[in-house]
Amino acid sequence: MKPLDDKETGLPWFKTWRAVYIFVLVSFVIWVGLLVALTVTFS
Amino acid sequence: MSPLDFVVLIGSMVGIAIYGMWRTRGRQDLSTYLKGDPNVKWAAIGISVMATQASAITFISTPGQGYQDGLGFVQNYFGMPLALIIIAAVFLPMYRRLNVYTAYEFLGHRFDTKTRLLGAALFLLQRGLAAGITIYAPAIILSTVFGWRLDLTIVLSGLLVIVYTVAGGSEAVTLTQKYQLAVIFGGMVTAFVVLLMRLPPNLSLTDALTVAGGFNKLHAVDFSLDVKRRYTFWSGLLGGLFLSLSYFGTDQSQVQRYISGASLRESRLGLMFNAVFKIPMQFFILLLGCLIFVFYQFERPPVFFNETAWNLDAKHDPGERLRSLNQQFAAIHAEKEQLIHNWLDAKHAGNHKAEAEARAQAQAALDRSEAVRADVKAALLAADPHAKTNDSDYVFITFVLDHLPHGVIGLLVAAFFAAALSSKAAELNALGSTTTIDFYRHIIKRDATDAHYVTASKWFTLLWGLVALAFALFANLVENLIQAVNIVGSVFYGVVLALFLVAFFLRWIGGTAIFWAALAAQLLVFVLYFSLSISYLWYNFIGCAACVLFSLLIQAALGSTNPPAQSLATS
Repeated sequence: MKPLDDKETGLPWFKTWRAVYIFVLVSFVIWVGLLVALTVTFS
Repeated sequence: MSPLDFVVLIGSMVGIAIYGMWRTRGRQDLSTYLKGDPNVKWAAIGISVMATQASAITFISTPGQGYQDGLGFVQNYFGMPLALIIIAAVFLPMYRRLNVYTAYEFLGHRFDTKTRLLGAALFLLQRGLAAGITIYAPAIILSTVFGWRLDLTIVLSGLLVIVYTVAGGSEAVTLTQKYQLAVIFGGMVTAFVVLLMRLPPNLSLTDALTVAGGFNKLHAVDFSLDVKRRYTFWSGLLGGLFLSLSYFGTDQSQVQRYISGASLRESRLGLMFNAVFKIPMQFFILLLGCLIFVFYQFERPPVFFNETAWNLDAKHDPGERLRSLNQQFAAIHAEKEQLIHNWLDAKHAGNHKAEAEARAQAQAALDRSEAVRADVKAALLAADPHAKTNDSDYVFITFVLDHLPHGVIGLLVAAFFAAALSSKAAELNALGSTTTIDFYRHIIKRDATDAHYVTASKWFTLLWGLVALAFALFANLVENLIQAVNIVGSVFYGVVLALFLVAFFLRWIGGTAIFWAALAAQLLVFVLYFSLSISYLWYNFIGCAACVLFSLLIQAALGSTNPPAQSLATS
């Protein structure tokens, strides 16, 4: 198997590092949204 | 603890340590000893980064934070995902291109020797202090609860970690962290499941969350702009960004964990693993604390969670004040429990007016029971002026001992020790590496063999281990332990981070300007820390901003740009 270049992520859905970083930021925003929802729902 | 608990505890801890030493025996290559296995994959890197940050304090003290103050502490980690992205995109490629052993070597390439040594010295100072706390923190709690001798607990757990870290270096640290984290997660998940099973049978998870929320334990996000509040969305995002950038990007105990990856890709993915999973992990640990709070609304908790200290002082209670307060606490608890049942019954019946009334009465009862706890703490202080009255660090361990089955208790205590050893090993490894590479090899002996530097590194690691042990034996902490570690970090991290940010982004600033700017900024942080009462997270930002600003001013005064000692572009 050919070794991966550092520019390739090797991930199935995220081909570029920019896509990986966006995924991380989106998951952060989702977590904050869920925490805000928890705060509002049970306060 | 029963014999079964001791078998689980000692078997897992000693077994993992021996396995780590056996797998890494006979390593004499400096790169492998200091950086670890050159073929390590992203999952092992991610686990190693996570295990290094998550010390025993995380697992003992954080549920206590959740119990006492609710979920708000999770905001502390809001800056982390962005910080890890910046490190993966900017810091990491530079470290790998220069093929450095330590982050401070990079400062030497970019600026000069004195700035490299300043960065390394600030790291050794703050990490040396924190290393003492990481070993002292679980030892004080576990020895108090189990009646073990504090000095023996510190020395035995300290020696175990020193032995396998000295013997196997960075590779042994990464290898053992994998199994230690498995023990930790196994223990915490088991505790969570048992806790849910121990809640009253007619109490659904929604009811439990209603009770926790009704007592303000689920206030996870606070958008207040008040800088005096310790945890807000903004302090977590901005202060947390600077704290995380500094800790993950410039603290050798973390840098050492990820620069060793088989490729840039593996190291980056290891960091992104933490960027995604750290906030949920901290959330669940805090939620565990909130649910323990709910559990203790239906099961009478001790009036003071450090029961050993309570029993000791209760023996010398001349006016029987403590016993009287304990009885008051029990009576209020029984009344509060009934009010909570009324509150939930009204909620189930859809009677909002009765629900609001019962909830307000339960809150008033909780306030009264907290007032009794405050009286208890005052009485304990009157009996013993040196008594530690912050008992939140004892909440989780009390729950574990009083309500978990034997075997699981051993697993949980093993989890605490596993966490202590995994973070401690990484710290010692980093302290030994930095002393060897940035001071010994750079200043004292430049052209020796790999075997010589490996031997030197082993001696320095041993030395730092003994320093941390000595510090732990004489440590005397006043605040919640997890906060103490973060406060020590926040005082130093801002300036260290600025050294790196200037190095990366302000290319016209030279070594002399940044060196004096760093000293001035560190002094400013010390002065502000002792004169202001703002959230400690802001010192990360203040130290960093002050250092960058001072470096710009000093460079402007100096007039000409000092060229970097070695061009990074050609390295």
